[in-house]
Amino acid sequence: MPVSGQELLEESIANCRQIADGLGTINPAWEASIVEILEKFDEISDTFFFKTMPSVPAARAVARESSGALSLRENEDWDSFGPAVEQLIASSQNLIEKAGMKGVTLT
Amino acid sequence: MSAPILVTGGAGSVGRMLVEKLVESGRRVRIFDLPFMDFGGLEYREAIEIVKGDITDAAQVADAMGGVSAVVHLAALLPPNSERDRERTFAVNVGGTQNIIAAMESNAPNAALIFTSSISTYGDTSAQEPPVKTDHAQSAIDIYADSKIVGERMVRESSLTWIAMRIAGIQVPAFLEPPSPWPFVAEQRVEMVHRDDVVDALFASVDAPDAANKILNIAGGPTWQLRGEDYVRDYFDFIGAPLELAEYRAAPGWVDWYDTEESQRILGYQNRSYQHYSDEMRAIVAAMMEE
Repeated sequence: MPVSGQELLEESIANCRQIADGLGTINPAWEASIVEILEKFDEISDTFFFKTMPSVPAARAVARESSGALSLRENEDWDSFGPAVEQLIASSQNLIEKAGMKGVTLT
Repeated sequence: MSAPILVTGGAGSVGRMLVEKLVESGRRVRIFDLPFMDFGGLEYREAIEIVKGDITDAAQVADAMGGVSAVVHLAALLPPNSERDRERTFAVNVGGTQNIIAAMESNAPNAALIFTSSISTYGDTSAQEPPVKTDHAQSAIDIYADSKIVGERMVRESSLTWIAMRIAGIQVPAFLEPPSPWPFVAEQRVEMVHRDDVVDALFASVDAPDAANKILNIAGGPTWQLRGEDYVRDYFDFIGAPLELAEYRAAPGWVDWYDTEESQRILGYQNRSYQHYSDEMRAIVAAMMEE
């Protein structure tokens, strides 16, 4: 069971890759959204934020929602999948925003 | 209505808080800051006038100076940006200050200039007995401090009434990434100051005749006097990060413990202890963990 923000992010990335794989044949817009999330996750994956404890709740939410979306995709439950992607986008945006933490300035 | 107080850099973090405090006290404020700054919440308010400009432009500075009763000069290029281009840093921090002085001497000769300098201008004082007093020699170890030494000298040699505030490292109660490396060695004496105490000091300086033509150290006071390693350990504990990620300077930096007896007596700004700051940080992180 992942316990750090970094591990939760990696779990989310793996989930999103599986979700995106071939999704364009079902709905290109969904695929584009997941690919965009993956690109953002790649940008933030090395940031200091994921070494801190406050990264865990935000990263856990994304891991949970990406896991849920992946399950829906595997079951081809497309009626529920759309809202699940919307929720995943929202929690991912929250995580991305938090990961852009500003630095201490000492003058 | 009273004559406005000009705040350069008034749209920045400390500037905004100062502006709000001045307005709350019934004063009029004129903000001078770069056009690309976020002026949201400051515009369209009766007590606040906004002048968008660049302090390196003497004409723009002169235009902003009419009728002011005091100038709080916060605008500056700060580290780490100040360390990338010496010429640019001197253009802003020295040239900009020269423009302020010239404009005041021509257009507002009776207004007081509150100049924000830095305790970094003392350089490495770690081998000496603390606390560092304001008559200690200045010796820059970075471009920012060098620019502040020159700017401060120009202010002191001007015909104006001035206050030079040598401000310690400002601590903002927020979830922020730690610097790497920290600008000190582990065993070095460090004394920071709470951001809101700096705002209180600046606010009090606007109406502090006892501070006229004085250099004042602005730092947190006895509760903030720690060793570098203690400060860093606490900070990593606050933000829930592994302490082994902390990196220190290879040689002592410009931090120390400071004599703030006079500044506290005149300005009465040391209102937030290190414990207060610690409690704020813990509350911020606890709220993030509950999301």
